[in-house]
Amino acid sequence: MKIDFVTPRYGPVGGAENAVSALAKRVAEIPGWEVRLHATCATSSSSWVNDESPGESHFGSLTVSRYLVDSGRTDTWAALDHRIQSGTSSVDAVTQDDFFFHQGPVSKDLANAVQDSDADLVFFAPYLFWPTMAVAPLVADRAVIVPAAHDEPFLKLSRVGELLQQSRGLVYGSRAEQRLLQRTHPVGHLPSTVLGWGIEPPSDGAPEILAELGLSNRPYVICVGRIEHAKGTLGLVDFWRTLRSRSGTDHRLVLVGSPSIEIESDEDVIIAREIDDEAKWSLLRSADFLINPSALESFSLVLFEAWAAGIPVLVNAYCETTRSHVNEAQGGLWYHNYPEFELAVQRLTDDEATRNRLAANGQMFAERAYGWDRIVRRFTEFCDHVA
Amino acid sequence: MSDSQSDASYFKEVVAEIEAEAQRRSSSGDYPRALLRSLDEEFRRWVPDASLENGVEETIRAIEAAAYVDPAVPVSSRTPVGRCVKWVVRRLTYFYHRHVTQQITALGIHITRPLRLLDASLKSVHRRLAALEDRFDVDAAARSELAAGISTFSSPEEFGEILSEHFSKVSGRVLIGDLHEVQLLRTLRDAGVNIYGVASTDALVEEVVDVRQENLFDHLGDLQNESLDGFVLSGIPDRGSVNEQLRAFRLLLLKSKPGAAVAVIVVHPETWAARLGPVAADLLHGRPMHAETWSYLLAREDASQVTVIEASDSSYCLVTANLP
Repeated sequence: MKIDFVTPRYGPVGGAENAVSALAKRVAEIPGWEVRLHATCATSSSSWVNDESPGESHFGSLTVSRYLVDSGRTDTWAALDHRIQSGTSSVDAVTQDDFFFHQGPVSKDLANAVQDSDADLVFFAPYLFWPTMAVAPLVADRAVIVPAAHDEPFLKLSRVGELLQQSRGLVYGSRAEQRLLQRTHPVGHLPSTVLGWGIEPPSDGAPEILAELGLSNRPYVICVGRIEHAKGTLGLVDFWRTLRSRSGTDHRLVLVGSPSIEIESDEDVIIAREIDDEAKWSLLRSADFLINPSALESFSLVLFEAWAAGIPVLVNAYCETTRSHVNEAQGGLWYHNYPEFELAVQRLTDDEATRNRLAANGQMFAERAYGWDRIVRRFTEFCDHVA
Repeated sequence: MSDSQSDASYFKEVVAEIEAEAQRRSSSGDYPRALLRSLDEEFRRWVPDASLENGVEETIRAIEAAAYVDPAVPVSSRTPVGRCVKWVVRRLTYFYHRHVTQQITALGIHITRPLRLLDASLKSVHRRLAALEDRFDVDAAARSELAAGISTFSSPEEFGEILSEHFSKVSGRVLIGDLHEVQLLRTLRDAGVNIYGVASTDALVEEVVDVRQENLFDHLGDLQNESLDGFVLSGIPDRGSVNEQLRAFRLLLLKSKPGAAVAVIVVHPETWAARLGPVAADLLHGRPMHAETWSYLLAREDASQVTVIEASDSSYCLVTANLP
């Protein structure tokens, strides 16, 4: 079997890209499977500037082809983005095409390479960017979409519905994502699988990061991911500052990720920008628990990283995906509002027995439900079925 | 109690404790109203509408919370002089602010009132619907408990061959649901039928690819009309109420293309009565429908080649047909 993956970027960037890359690496190791991943030379999703050199590289048995970006995120994008965010029903197809063009990353070389490929199936992830929206329709009879979608205005665009309906099949991260897509567009009858994603084994870590951030002797909780409004980070910071002023807890909140909003470290909150994977694992292991405040998640790999690191999680109860992971795993708690947040944080910080019990549940669940053996088996079965 | 059961009950206990205590503290005024409102503003901004469990109720609460405007302007300041000046201005203008904010609060009350009435009407409709359902039928929970004694159909291999032949000329998607075991699906897929399954339990999802764990009615509700090239209706004819059977049938017809190949697998009423105790047989009276009834329903839709095949042990019947 010969399969291609198409993602906007390759490397330790972006949840969906990371998850797909990790899967591609593992599938490439199976005898008889030939796997290539097409990506642009960009690493930043806010500019799509060419950071890497174009050409072919090998990572184990996986071949990665990178192509130059012809056009990245433009000034026109912000206005189009605002228009779609304000309501999708009045946005015509031409404007939608325009939006996806300016959303980027546009790469004609990537499009040509995918069209010329003789792969049996081509997997596109995630749905929201030009390589999926513009290139998948060119190979519709072989295109399988990995939407990595959550409930957002872009998902409701008619062009997205057309893309999904034309495709050969769909791969979902969670049942909640499958339900969301089936409710939004008539794709319930298309071949599909709920795969879920695996995580790379935790690295040994870089414990010096704790000293660098002044956390060697201080308890803290952690939040990993893009620091932005839509991910609920500002809401979390508000909650956290209120909690600190009300309860006087010693714990600090450590935000790991690149901020797209103005936020500075202070007594309550520490920002750990642009840290590498090893430092992230060290921070995870030494935290009391992880908070994911986002209500917009299609899978949330970071929960599984937290469980692998041996800590429980606290999630936004309005996110169907993360709440259902936590409920199935019994590996953490959730909150609907500030009072529940305050009580859940107090329970997780003060009650070590509960913390350990929830962490152990989460760890077991992650190994059982989202171990790589299961994911790769289900993926290859799905490929055989669809191809 | 096993470890996993004890973990599950402990987890539920902790969640329930937190929710109850949060509720208690909120209603006892532990948190200043203005504080909760300002925290809620950013938190709720990114919550998708679809994920609000009690949408109308919560929206009304949010409007009510937002409609209350506190006339006491904060006076905190970096300097004591600043604080003092702000305090004096607040005292001097309080009558004005109070007048304005009272009008805004009154407007909020007028807005939420019709919404509350609407919410009350909706709840009343729900109650009446539930009462109506009770009059027609034994409720779903009791039914699934009583029908648990019925095993799934016993001769999939026998039907597999006939169904493979029946769907042999169908190239598009064929749905089988509600799926209770995977052997029939495997047989049909091996025979080249482009079939997928909908199962109400998740065990089958792990066993075979392209099976989704979903309520069949929800699944059919989301499908576009005329998107199926065929269907096999199973499970629901054995366990569902008459209304559910007819609803599933109507939805499947709506979602099927003209000329679709269709099939219904149904337990023989005598087998059904024999396998259930007298309690279930009494309370679930009237189910399942006879194969003749399915033939009649299909014939009424102008289906052609309506055929009834009985399993060799007479426990189940297969009804096949082609839609016009």
